[in-house]
Amino acid sequence: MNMISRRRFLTLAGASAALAVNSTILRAQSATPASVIVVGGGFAGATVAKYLRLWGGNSVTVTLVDTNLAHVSCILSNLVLNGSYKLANITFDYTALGQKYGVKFVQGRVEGIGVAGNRRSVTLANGQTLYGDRIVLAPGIDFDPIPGLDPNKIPHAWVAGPQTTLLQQQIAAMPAGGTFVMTIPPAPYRCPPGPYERACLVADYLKRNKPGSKVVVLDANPSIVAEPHTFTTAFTQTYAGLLSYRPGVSIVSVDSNARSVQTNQGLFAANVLNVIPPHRAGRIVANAGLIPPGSRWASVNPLSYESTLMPGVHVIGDSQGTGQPKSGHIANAEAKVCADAILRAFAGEQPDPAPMTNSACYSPITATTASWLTAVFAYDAGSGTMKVVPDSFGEAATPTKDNFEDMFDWARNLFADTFA
Amino acid sequence: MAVLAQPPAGRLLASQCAQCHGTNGQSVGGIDKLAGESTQEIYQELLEMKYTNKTNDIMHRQAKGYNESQLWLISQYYGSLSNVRGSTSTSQGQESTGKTADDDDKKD
Repeated sequence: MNMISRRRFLTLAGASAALAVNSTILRAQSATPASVIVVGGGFAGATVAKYLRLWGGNSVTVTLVDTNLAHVSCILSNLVLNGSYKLANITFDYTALGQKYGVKFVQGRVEGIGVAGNRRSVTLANGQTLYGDRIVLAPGIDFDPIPGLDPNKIPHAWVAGPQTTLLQQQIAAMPAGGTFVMTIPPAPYRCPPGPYERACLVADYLKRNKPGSKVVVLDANPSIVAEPHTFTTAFTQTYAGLLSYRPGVSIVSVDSNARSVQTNQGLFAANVLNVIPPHRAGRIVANAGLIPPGSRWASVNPLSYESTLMPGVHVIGDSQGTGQPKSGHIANAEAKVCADAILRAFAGEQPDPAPMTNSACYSPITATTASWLTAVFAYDAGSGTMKVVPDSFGEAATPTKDNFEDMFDWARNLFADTFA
Repeated sequence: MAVLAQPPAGRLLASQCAQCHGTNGQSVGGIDKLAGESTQEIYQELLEMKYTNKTNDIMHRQAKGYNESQLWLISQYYGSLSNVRGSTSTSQGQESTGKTADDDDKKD
């Protein structure tokens, strides 16, 4: 306990020394904590809320806003499709963030953000307005519309939850000898290995449960986007004769009742059709004008994830446009850089000049084996961007049972570091 | 009421290990805990992984992503946490408040 007292003393001493520097400190010194509103409670939003309080303590109040009371993780959600996992296994509410870290939670749909003097405002659909010194937007992704596509009939299952259940039910109801067709959007999209992982798991499930069935993968990209060695091997050997992969396929339209997709390479009919539309930054980010012309993603400074177009507003996770991959693991990584930069800004300091982030993920390839992919990203001062450190980038040599076990250990810690 | 001074050196870097090794190194799965390890133990292990060519190992890849001074800062941060092991998991967001590297050096 006396350790905490000493820390508080040092904290106050530090604050006094810096008093002349910044008016933010004057306000904080007068016992009003700084405030942050976080919009979106996925991996990015939950992590930034937690770490602002873990590191900032009572110097900052944090309000987390989400339309849902809990987040359903996309990570491991492909295991729901083959029946080995339940949605309940990957659903996380915000109770721990409130109880352990004092994060306030508000359920609501955000209509827009604005500027109110020195503060920022968040307006909810119920008319309520929240005010904060800074806003962090972490709304994930939005999808491009596709002519004829009704996601209530043709699930994307690329936002986990009811969509995952719908696709799982359609696959379970598929006749033996049927055809599963899925489409992969142009990069960048959420979770680079994710669609290929899904193709493998569905193929594995059909092989065991629906003899004679086929998987057709229609990829908008010119080649496999992530783990090319792993997935080329899986497609051409593990699932030879069962799975066919076509690169360079762009979608023209979808017939949601007939379950068919018209493409530049012809018409593909399916028993189960899984169309993952092209992605863009979340609606809130777009409506706030944070996306530069010609881009799909928010322009941010990678030192702080502060918008280059609206000061005091930060964008992290899948909506940000630093070029880092879009995934839960790296969203968590970005959130920590953002939290650190915000706390420094409240203390009148500059962000860490050399932030690092990393990506690591495991992909099940069969019901018992998995691969992995990893990379470390470093800030490059010359270009002002995050760049992969070359030697850090790599994929597993082969899918193994050990990797499959490690996958759950990785996920457990990632879930806990984010939501608990 | 508190305003943070400069955050402890290595804290942000070290937090990038937490996705797999747990918040403040308190792993909840089968992956190694870092809290409770000494600075030297962690640093020597990281250097070994950085400089051996075992590319089919996720941590060997990760270790190659950082320079030696970054690896030292990470090791030092987790080494410093070993003295307060367990206290952070029940945090109300208080324990880390205003904690500095200097503070760590003077731990009781």
